Amino acid sequence: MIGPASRPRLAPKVRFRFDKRSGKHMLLYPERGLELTAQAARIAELCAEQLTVAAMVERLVSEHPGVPHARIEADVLTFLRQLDDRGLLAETGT
Amino acid sequence: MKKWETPSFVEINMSAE
Repeated sequence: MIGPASRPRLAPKVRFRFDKRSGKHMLLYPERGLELTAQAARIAELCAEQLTVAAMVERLVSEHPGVPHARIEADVLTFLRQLDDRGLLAETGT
Repeated sequence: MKKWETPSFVEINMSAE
């Protein structure tokens, strides 16, 4: 289960791409894909930096002053768990 | 202030596209 101390990164089978047609970022994996909203794409970018979830949340809080820390943390954890449920994350740490 | 929106996605079956 992904938690604040986890260091999630994208699984080797996943490609993070910008789709020129839709103007959106996508996560592509065999025969399927996810079209991401801007915030989801930002979290996918942060997965490449080997950060803990807690560090990702701190980064996003600093980028969005005025948004409650608890809301960003809950949204990040929910999104990452959705990716994990689809086998799109390779997690290091606990 | 940058607006925060709950991160979400649309799942696409790539075999069709």
